[in-house]
Amino acid sequence: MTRAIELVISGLSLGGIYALVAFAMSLTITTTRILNVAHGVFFVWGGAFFVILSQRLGLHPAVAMAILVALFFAFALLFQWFIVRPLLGRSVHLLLVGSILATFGLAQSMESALGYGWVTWVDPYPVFASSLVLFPVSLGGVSLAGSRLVILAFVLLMVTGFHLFLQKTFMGKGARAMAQNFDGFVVIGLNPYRLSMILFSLAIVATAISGAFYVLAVPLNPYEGLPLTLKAFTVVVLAGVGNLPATLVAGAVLGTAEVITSQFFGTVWAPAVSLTLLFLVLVVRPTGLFGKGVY
Amino acid sequence: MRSRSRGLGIGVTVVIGAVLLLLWLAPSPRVGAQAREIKIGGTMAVTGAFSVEWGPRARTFMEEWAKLMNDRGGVFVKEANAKLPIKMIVYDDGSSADRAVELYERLATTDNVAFFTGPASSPITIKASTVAEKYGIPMVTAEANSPAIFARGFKWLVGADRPAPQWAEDYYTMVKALMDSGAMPRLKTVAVIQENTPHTMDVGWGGINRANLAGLTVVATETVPPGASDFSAIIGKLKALNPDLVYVAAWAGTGAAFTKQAFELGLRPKELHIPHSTITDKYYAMAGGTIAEGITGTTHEAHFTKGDKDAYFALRKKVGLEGFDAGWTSLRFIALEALARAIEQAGSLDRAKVMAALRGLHYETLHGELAFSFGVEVAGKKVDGVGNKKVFPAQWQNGKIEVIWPTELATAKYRPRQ
Repeated sequence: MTRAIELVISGLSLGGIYALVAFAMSLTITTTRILNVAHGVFFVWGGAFFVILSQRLGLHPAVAMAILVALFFAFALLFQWFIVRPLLGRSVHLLLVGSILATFGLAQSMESALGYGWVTWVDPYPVFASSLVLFPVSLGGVSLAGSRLVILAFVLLMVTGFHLFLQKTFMGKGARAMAQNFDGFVVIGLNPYRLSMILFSLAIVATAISGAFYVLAVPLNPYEGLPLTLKAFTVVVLAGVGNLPATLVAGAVLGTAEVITSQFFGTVWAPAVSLTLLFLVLVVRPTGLFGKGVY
Repeated sequence: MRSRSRGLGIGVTVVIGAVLLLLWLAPSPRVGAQAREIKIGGTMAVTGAFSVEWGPRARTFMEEWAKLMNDRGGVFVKEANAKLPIKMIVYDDGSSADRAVELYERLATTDNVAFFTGPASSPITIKASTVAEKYGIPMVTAEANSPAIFARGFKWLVGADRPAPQWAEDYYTMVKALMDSGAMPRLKTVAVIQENTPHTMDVGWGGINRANLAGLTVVATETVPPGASDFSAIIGKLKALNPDLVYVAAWAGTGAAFTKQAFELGLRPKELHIPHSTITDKYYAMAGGTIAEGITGTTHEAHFTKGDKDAYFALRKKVGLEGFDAGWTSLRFIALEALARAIEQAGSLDRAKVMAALRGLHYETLHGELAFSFGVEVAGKKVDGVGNKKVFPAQWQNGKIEVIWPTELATAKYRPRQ
C-alpha cells in the first residue's frame, strides 16, 4: 500500500514539474492561438540565467529572480514585436503555420546561442543545476522531495493566479474575448497588439521563473528546450486547449503514467509515454481528456 | 573527321592510362620520410557533456606533456639518428562522437599527423577509432575501456586502460575484505543503475556480474537514457527494495543528479557506489556538497612509486591539479608515454613498425608493468589491444577524494556512510 501511495506521490510530483513547463504555453495558445515552439527554450533560458545570477554571480535568489523578471520582460517585448505582432489577425491556418515556423527558427537560434555562450563564457560543462539541496518531507512514512514540494506549491500559485487574472480582471476578460472572436474584439475598439504584448510578457516571464524553479529539482542542458516544448504540448493537449486549471491534472496524469511505466516496464520506456498519450488523445479525444476549455 | 575523333579518343585514353600508371607506381607517402618532428594528434572533450570530467585542463595536460618531452630533447628515432621533437595537435570535439570523427579525419588528411592519441571516453572513441583504422594510423587510447571498442578486430588500436567490467572486481574485492574485517557493515543486496552509453553499461555489467565476489545478491538492475536527469521513478522503486548497496554506473554529471535526488527523496543505502564520482572534484559541489560525503568511487590516481613518477607529478602540478582531482591524468600520461616508447623501440616513424612495437610493448610505468593483451575474453567478448592500467577504489571524505584501497596505496581508511 505504501508503495502504491509512493508511486502516486512520485507521479504527482513529476506531474507538478510537467504542469510547470506547460501552463504558460496553455495560456498563450488559449488567448492568442499562437503556438510558441520556443516555449521550452525560454524555460531553459530561465533556468540558465537563474543559475548564472544566483550561483555564478553569487546574487541572493530574490535579487536574481528580480533581474530575471526584468530580463525576460525585455525578451518578451522583442518576441511580441518581431514574431507575434506580424502574425496577429491572420487566418487561423496562417497563424498556426506562421507561428510554428517562426518560433521553431527562434528556438534553434536560442538553443545554439545558449549552448555556445555557456561553454565559452560560463562553464565547459553545459548543464545548469541548482546546488541547493532541500530535505525530504515525510508524511505517514512516505517521503517527498523538498524541491518538488516547492515546485508543486509554485505551480498551484501560478495556475490560481492566472485563472483569477483571466476570470476576474478586465484584461483577462479581454484576453478571453480575443480568443473567442478576434474580429469582434477589434471591432469594439480594443487593441489586440497591446493585449498580446501583456499576455506574452506574462507568459514568457512566468516560463522563465518556472525554469528557475525547475533547476531546483532537475538539471537542464541548453538543448533540452524543444523536447520540453513537446512535453508541454502533450500536457496542453491532454488538458484540452484552453483549460488552464486542467494542465495541473494533465501533468499529474502524464507524470503518474511515466512513473508506473518505469516501475513495471523499465525507465527507458518512460519517455515514450508522452508521445503515446499525445497520439492517443489526438486520435480518440482531440478536445482533450477534460473537454473544451473554459475560456 | 571520323579518324580524327578516333585519334583524340586514343590520345585521351593513353594520357589517363599514363596518369593511373604513375599514381600506382608512385611510392606511398611515408610519414617518416625526412620528418623533423613527430606529429601526434587527437581530440578532447574540452567542452560539452564530458567536460565535467576532462575539460580545458585535459588539453593543457597533453600539450604540457609534449613540452616536457621536448625539454628532454624529444624522442630518439634511430632512422633519423636524432631526437625528434613532438608536435601535439589537440582539437575540442565538444563531447560529440560525430564531431570527433570529423576532426580525426582532418588530423589524418590536413594536419598529416603521424599518430593518434585517443579522445576522452568510450562513446567518443568507439566512433573516432574508425578513422585510425581507415587510414592505418596507430591510435593509443587512454580513457576508453568499453570492450565493444576492442572487440571489432581493429589492427591500429590499443588502449591503456583495463576493460570497464573489471572496475567492479577491484571494488567488490575491497567490499568483501572490509566486510570481513568489520570495517564495513555487512551488505547482502545490491541494485545496479546503468547509464545507456558504452563504458557505463560495461561498468554496470561488472557491477551486476561480479557482485558474487562480495557475496551480494542483485535485487534490481535499471537502465537509464544517456544524460538522464530525473530519477524519481527509479528511486521510488529502490526504496521499496531497500538494497544495502546502490551501484550507479553513470557519468559524473548524471551521478551527481542521482545523488541529490536520492537524498531529497529519502533513499539512504548503507553504501552508495558511483565509480565516476571520484574522478573529478566538481562532483562534490554538483551533488550538493556534504551529501556526497562517504560516497565511494573509482580513480586512476594514487601516490605512485614506480615509473616516471617525478615527471608525472611535476606535470600535474604544472597543470594546477591538486589531490586526486582529474582522476584520468595517470591514464592519459601512460597512453602518451606508451606511444613515445613504441616510437623509440621501432626506431622509425613508419606507422606499421610503431604499431608492431606497441603490440609487443612491455615496460614499467606508474602502476607497474604495462602491456597490451590480444585475443583475450572480457565480458563475453574477444578483445584485442586492451591495457592493464589499474584503478583504485576511492571515497569522498571531508570534501576531498581519498584513495581507500589497496592498503599500500590508501591515503585514508574507509568510512561507513552516515
